[in-house]
Amino acid sequence: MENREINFGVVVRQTGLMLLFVALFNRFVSMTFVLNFTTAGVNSTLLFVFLTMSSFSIARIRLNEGINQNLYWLVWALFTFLSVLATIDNAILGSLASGLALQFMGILLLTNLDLASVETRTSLVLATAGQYLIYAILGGLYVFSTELGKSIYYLVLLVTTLSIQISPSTPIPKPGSLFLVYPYLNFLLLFLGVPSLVATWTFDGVLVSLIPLPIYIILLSVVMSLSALVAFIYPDLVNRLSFGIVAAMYSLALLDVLLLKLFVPVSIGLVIYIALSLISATRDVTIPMFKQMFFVQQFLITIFLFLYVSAGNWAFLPSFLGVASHGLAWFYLFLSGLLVVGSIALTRRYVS
Amino acid sequence: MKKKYITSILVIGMIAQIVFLSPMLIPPKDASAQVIRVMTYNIHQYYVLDPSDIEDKTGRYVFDELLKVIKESGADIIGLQENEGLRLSSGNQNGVAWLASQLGMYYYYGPATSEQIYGEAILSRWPIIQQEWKQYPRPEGIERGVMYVVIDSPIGQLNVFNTHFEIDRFKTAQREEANFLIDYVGDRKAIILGDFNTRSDENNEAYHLLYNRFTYGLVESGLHPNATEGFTSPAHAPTHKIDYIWLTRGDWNVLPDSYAIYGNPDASDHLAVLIELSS
Repeated sequence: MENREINFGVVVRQTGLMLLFVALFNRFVSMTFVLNFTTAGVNSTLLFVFLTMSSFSIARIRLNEGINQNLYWLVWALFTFLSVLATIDNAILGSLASGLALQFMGILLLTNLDLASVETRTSLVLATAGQYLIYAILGGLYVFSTELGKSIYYLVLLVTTLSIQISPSTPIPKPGSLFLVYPYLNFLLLFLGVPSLVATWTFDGVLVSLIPLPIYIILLSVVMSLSALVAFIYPDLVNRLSFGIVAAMYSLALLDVLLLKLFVPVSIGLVIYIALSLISATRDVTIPMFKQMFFVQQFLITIFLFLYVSAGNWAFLPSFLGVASHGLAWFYLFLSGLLVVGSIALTRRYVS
Repeated sequence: MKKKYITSILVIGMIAQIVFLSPMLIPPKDASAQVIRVMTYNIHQYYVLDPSDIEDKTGRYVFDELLKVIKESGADIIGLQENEGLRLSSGNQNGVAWLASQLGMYYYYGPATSEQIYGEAILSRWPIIQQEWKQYPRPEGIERGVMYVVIDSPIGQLNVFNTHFEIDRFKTAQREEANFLIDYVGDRKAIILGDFNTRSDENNEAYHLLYNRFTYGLVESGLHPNATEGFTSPAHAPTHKIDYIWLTRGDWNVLPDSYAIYGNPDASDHLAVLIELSS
């Protein structure tokens, strides 16, 4: 870790951005689902799903020149406006506003993340733990379900905005950092985001049959936060083994949680620790053809997400989608998880 | 130094998580009773019934409204259907745990999210000492199942089943589900709650299988099987009933006129059904 003083203003901003991203993504998916949850089948609003791909808006940015401060503020203002609109109880508005806000969020993340800095690595850990904390405060609900939840969302938005005033910095894109953090944040939402989600995914595990479920949920929550903490204190442990072995351990742990369910709490801890540590350990990155690669990465995230959601609602979808998704939710979650280590492996090829 | 500072933040966060999650562990207040109130309620995945026009859909979640309905009913045991909120598409939320903590009740979540069921759960004022869930055979339609719990109540140990049948378009599936349920209950003295998607006023085979094997809570409380008082669906203008409380024959004393309907269209697309029983 560097000797220079850590800039807590930057940490607050980056942590806030990550928490807002996860909340908006959640809002976007649930509202798009509500629009399409009918026995009559899906409608054209399903195409909103491609709004998750902020590579469309990022393609407009000149990566090597930094971003004009005026443009930066404009993006921030639009993001904030759409972010507030997304909290209104209208499914079309909620879906569209959160989807468009994700577009601008992509640009803000691009310009604020830098894995070479201790601030980003710290923010990643704090966002992971903070995500669990918010769900705990809300008793297992998500931020847009109750007035308390919305208040927490607005508070994070306000603090994140204020942190820009307190510690301004030149917005210079760090594509490599975004390329690693973006799939992780998606994965954080899909699989690791909610303690109770993981608990229900693993209800038929061995341990949960031995102890009361509420205690199991708390145990999982603590394990996940502890893993983030260990990744923060000992990020270099993963470097003592070859990348292939670490990636294999990660894949096995993921498979255990999703399919085998033998050592679930341990496996969840491993997944979080390895993902966070590997991202932190892959610091100095310059990715050629970033825009194209980021497009492919986001396209895959979107497809995996779509098929994962479809798996739970296959009965309402056209038959070919039903066949491609029915009973395969675990598989698309697994692929989403693999995309995290796949992106890391690809990035490491370009480490200077 | 800064590492210690951030570590402290993370540890405090972890302690806070335990503190905030601990209401799930608080044992309910003692509510000993000689009469128990059992209810079945399809809660439509926690969001209000939206109009079919997509431009008018709100997607508003109704946790507070559901809590109010259940509190007003004074139910001791509630069989929930369509309670699966932990899918990403449902907002990633554990409404069962939330309702239980708000009501001071015990709960059994039922099938894991990974089972891809719309959800079946039990809330209980008294401890749940045994629990299991089984998936029905699926000749057609989507995955469905039935849960079984044993509740340690003041009037003794109660065998409670809770289920959600296939929609009436799939008659073969409904018939198999009814036969499976009858075999599963077996000789036990039991309360069977659920959304059976079968109408008493139609010549529905699954309904008749259940009617011939169990007694119908509504009838036991003194009403006719086709009484309009029992209509539960759709909540905004009920025209039929598909939510039932069945009881094993000769085992229960249903209090006269205790059959009651709770709920409103702002909470779910179904209304809840409640009866009072004594030992």
